[in-house]
Amino acid sequence: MSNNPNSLSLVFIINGEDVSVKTNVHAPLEAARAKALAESGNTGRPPEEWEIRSESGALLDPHATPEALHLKENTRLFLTLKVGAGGCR
Amino acid sequence: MRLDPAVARRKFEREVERVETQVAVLRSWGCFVVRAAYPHVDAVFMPRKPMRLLLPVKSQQGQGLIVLPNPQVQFALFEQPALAGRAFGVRINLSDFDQRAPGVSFHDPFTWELLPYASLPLGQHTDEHGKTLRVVLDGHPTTKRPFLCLRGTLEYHEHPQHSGDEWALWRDQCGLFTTLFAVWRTCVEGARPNLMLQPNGRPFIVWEMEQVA
Repeated sequence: MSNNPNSLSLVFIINGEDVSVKTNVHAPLEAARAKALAESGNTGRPPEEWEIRSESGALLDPHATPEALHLKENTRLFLTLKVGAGGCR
Repeated sequence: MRLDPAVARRKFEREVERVETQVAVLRSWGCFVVRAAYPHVDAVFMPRKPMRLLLPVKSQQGQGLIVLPNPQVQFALFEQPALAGRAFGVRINLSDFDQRAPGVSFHDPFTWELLPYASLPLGQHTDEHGKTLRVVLDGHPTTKRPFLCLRGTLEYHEHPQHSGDEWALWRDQCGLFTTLFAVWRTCVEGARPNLMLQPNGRPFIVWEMEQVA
């Protein structure tokens, strides 16, 4: 656990792999998302195309902060690409 | 273009390994990988959201001397904790992965026979604008079978109506885990079955899309 009360570790699951990043509890989730994508080498698509979901599958607002979302140390989040779907007849 | 068999197997093993490290997550979804033998990974999904029973209640015909025109049918909702949606099997075909996208087919979890469309879970996807689309469809033009119409699946990228959305654009970000995640999110987590008893006495299934945002 970090000694800095404003620092928080989040674990992003990207295509089945855990990517742990440190972020500030007051910084929007999109900052941690960008960091996780960069560290995992998933830079082929813009970060905005990646959805952040909780372990229960709930879609999270990337502009919300960990503090506002009550995220705890080592909370696990899913990063998945926005899905194109349907339209087939 | 076919992938070198040795390369294909290594990629298969890498994908399976990634899923194996997330077994606790999968279990929390009700997803159980029951077999992993190249090029197939078989998984069983067990929905657990309780089914709801909707029974019509006597609508208010009037208030005193006032007769209400066209009184609406109202329903009382009863959650059935012992009942949930039907378990189903999914086979992920990783032939020539990741040169080709993962293929998805639906199976009876007891016999592993292909499931007919009428026995499939309702697969729904809600986009960021709140628009809901059905993504489990019948009659793929090539396989002639039910299919999951989601980006990242073989059936989507090889469907004539998606010829402009090439798998090559997405292959780096999609794999076995993302495919299982997509099945869970659209066919299990995002849909709850409601059994509605209509005023005419006939039962009717209403699939309720959970608002997960």
